[in-house]
Amino acid sequence: MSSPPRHVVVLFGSKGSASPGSSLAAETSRLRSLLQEHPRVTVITRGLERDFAGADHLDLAADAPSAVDRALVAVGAGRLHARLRSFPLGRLLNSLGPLDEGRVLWRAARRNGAVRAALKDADVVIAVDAAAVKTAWLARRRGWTPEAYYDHRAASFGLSFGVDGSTVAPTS
Amino acid sequence: MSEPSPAAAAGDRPHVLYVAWGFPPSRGAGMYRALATANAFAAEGWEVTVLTATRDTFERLTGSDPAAEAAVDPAVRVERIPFDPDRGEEDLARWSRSRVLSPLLWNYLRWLRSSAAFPEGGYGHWRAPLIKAAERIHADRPVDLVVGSANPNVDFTPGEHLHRTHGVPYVMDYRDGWSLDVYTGERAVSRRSRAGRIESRMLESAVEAWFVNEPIRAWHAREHPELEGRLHVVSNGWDPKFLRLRPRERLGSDDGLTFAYLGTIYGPMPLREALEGWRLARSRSELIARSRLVFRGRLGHFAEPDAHAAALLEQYHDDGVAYLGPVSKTEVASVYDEVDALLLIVSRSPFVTSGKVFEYAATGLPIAAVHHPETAATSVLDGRPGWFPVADLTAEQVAEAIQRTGEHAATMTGAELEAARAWAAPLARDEQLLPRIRALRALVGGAR
Repeated sequence: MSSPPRHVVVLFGSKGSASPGSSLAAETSRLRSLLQEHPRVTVITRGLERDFAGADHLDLAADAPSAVDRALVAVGAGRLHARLRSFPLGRLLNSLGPLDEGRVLWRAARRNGAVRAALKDADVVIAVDAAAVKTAWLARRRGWTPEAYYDHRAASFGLSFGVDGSTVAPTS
Repeated sequence: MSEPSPAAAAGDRPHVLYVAWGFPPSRGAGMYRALATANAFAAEGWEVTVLTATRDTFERLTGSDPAAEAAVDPAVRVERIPFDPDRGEEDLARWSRSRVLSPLLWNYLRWLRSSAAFPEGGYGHWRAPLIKAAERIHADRPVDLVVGSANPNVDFTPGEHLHRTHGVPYVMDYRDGWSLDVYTGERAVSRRSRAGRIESRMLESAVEAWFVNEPIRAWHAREHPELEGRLHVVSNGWDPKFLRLRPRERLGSDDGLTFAYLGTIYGPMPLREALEGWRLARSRSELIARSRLVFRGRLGHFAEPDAHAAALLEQYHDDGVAYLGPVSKTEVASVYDEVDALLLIVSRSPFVTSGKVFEYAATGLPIAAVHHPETAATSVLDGRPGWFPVADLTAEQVAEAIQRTGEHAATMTGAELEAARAWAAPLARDEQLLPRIRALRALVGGAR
């Protein structure tokens, strides 16, 4: 990126996979580097309860499910997904199916006008977990944003630690 | 193989190709042995070429320690070749549609392809680039000896290749084990498996194999009795280059003592037992209650830190426990200069020495040895002044060791500190490496 980013969108695809320990990495995360330029920050999550001080937080958890998601629930796909999750081959099959977290996030993101607008306005989109990758990748692929990155070291964004002197998460 | 190489016979400096994935700026624990080995060969007059991975590899995968790279002897030539550029790629513009479709499936298929090249899923694909690079290096300047440093075990493949194609002798620096699980003492791979057969074939042709301690060497000698004379212990050691400590008149202050653990903080080590013992010691000792315990090191072996270890440390925050992040090897001396006593927390295994035990010994600081007595680290510290081992890993025993360590530190004189440092002089890294390097010099022939 030649000029400093004006708007950074941070995507959390999973409710529970973001590892707080990531903030203790010695390597600087890409997000942390970008924050040095003080861009506007929008965080998109699916119900992650964190204090994203100084950032706009768009929470997709409150949105009504799409027709596809309602249909999947109606046919019991959730129960099958949960059963498959308990063994390796099942997890592999789940990763190709409609209830894969990456696909769920993408369906929710494209239905939400504010999220779509944020992605289209972003100079950089950061996917902080594997479930956020598809949405970030498609946003770049469709020309909504010029740059998209997978940055697992940013997974602790919005967290701080009680451990004295630890490398705390970026909060602004 | 016993014939002097052309280069050595001509009186040139012998040329060693040292293959080590985890070379600086890698932040892995094994990096220090790799760094010291390359430097020791150079100091002994060898021409040294190191074959390793590109710098970005470590930034992506293990974390990097750029300061350690400055410690590489300028005479050492470092050849870096890419290692799996896709792994850890952050730029999603470089992710293929199939990778996005299912990262899990994409990774599994890569693992299968990699294992087909060499039975080491995460590293097997590196075999072909390594061999190609070794061929090029040998063509440019004939290699007299190859030393491969595991893990990964794929580092052994250039040595075997140059031996098979050009008759170059090679050394396998195992450090720990390929077939041996050093934590359980069990076989990790069967002798009849593909990996087991490849290992046996490589060992048969190797001029030497090195191990970090006698229990691991003895295990391999039992498994391969025909190789007895070629299996050697080259233990780890402390690095004088990184450990220039200041003299101290006394330890601690009126505010209490600073205990420290320096090293990687990872799964099998008895971290909870150590922390419980610390908490108990604080409840019993006014001195320990005024003291603090700091942890410096990586949380786990990968770039993404171990969240469980972080959470565990956080639980003891109110007991004066602090995690202060990783520290470069180039800065450890300044950390040791600021602490008054050490906690040596090591996994239970007769095969585990740990690299940090040597450094701990050399600091002269009192050590509470929070590990089972059968751990190989015991044999290194046995007899060292200011060493307080535990009989078992109960909170009671750990607390007692910590209290005795603290009391010793609080009354220790500068002269006692220097005496403890002098005790560890024979444990310096070069003392372990030089006998083997000199023996290999005789093997390849030539004069300096």
